[in-house]
Amino acid sequence: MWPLPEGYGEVVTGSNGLSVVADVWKAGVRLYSNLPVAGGDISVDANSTTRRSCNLTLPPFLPTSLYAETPALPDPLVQAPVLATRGHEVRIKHSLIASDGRPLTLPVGRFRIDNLDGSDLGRTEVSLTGVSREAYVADDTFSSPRTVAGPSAAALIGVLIRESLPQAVVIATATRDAPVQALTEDTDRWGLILTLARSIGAQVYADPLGQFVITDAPTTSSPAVWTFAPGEGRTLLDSRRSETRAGVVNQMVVQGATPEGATDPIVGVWRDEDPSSPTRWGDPDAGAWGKATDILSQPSLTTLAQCRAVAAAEGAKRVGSQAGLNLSAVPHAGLEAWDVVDVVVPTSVSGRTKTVRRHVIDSFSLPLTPGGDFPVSTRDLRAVVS
Amino acid sequence: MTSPSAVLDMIRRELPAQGRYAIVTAVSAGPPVAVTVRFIEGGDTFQPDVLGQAALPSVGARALILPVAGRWVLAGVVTAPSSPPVYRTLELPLVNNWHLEQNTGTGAWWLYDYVTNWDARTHGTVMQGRWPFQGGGAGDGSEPVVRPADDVTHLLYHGARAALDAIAAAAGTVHLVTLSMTRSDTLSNPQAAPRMFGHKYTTASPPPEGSPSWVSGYGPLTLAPFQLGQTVTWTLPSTWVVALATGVLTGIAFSSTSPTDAFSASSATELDRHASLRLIYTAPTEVTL
Repeated sequence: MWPLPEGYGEVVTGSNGLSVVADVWKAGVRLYSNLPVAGGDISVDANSTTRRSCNLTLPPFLPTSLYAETPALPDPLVQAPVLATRGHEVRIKHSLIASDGRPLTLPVGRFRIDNLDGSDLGRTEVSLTGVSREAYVADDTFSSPRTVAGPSAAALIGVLIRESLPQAVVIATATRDAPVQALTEDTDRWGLILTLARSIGAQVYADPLGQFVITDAPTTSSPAVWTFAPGEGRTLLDSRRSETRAGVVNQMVVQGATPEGATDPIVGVWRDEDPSSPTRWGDPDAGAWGKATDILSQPSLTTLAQCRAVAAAEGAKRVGSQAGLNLSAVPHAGLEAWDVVDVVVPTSVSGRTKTVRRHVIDSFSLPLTPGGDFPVSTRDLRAVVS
Repeated sequence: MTSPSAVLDMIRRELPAQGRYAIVTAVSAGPPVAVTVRFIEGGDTFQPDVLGQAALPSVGARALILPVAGRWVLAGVVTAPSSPPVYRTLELPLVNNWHLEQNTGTGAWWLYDYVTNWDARTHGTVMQGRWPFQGGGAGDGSEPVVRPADDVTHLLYHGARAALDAIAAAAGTVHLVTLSMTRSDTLSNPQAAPRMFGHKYTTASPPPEGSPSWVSGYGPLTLAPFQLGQTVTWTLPSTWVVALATGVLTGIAFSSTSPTDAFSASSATELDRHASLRLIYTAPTEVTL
């Protein structure tokens, strides 16, 4: 979760207003301030290459001064259009306005403009879609197979990102790091970055300011950063539950590089053994969920401790999809994908009995207009004793 | 079938039968010839079929096992990845941590060495930027008033050159030098970026109680910002490491006069090791100082 301004928790659950400021930048220069956003949303998805994407609806003409306007769509004859797909970026800030008029502002994304669509005659609104800055790195594939090795996976991630974006800010907050034995990738630069991150139990993404963050991937024991609860003064409006066994893994096996001459392999195993977990590993005839294993080969790992740490992080990504929730909630702009949250749902018609379960957020969609839907997809990790 | 669970797993995942790597755990020249292996991902040992003309592997070798007609066959030995280099870490705690502060109202300077003058809890505290101050209003009946802010600089001295010399003397190579800090203040600026400078002060030649001087060409270098409560690891540029090794620099400092750059970094757990330099190197033997 992005650090919240003081009082944000109270304002988001109470009466508030909304202000969205979207500015257009190119090469570090602001070309246009405060795009008149008529609608749209920001999608945040942990399983997408680009963590964030935006979809904005703009008027066909943008005011440039009191009595002047410019077309929102780029004019082919204009050398420096305000909006275009030529390296233009949109930086969006989301402000909740407290009852005393105080704005509580959070950055919600820095997006490369990828698509503009609208009427040349100005008869329809202009649709703008953008993606977060991982796209620059993902597009920059290797022209020949690339082998990396070095003392620090986090440092290598930074090198690979800066080869594509030399001025990128890379923030390493991961608590684990490890040397990397030779690791080869054919073409996929972002895939290699993700492999390196996985080897240290971390995740990499571009944060709302466009900075690349290398941080610990959540595990099933990560603390909750927010609570969705129904009722007055709370933020949960509805919760739709779907259950499926498809894709569920409750044992994760991570193989490292076994040194020459060793008779025992370097293998880390993580199992969902939490008694309160709906996907607990074990005999289904004895009340457990069953056994489903996924195996990950990670030659860059050379110790048992590394393999176990990665197995725990990878297990957290795969466990729990048995009981995903689709929440409708009051929008919260500070959340991030893979944040761990608590969800309070009533377990009786009267609502007197409730259960608190810990979920990990897979994706959500943040509206940029007041009253918009805020759907959140989560996976159930376990019950929480409150 | 020697490994039904593995084969069943392939069927369940609709995977074609694939060759697998295994580690040889026992060899019997026979007769009959028997080779016992275990898949590299673990599991039980088993004995694949061995081709009559094949050379016997040695225990510990990495073997390729192929599924043929529902049985596993030892196809041969493959070269295991070479042993990775052993990266060693040398941690350099702070020898000196000079806190240099100037009041923007009076222009007065104040200098203090956190390591030598204060207790161990403050050794690794690093501050930077313009800090606002308030006077009065502390229960004494006086009205709170805003006092002129202070600009804070911290100059760190780790004795890095001696450590880098020791690694060089041990025929070692320094690969990375990193610095980790945890932001611990409660200021309102969510993203504070350290502005790093290079200095030439030492224990014997400390900074004056006045404007510090920086080594030309080494700073200000703006590092990746950190948020409240976040622990960030920064890698020193290789040019700075060379400068520390050759004595062009003796240490690094953090300095700014901007309120948005203000931060305080300290650790609640490893107080005396906070803001240490970590030297990651390879060498035939471990280097101790």
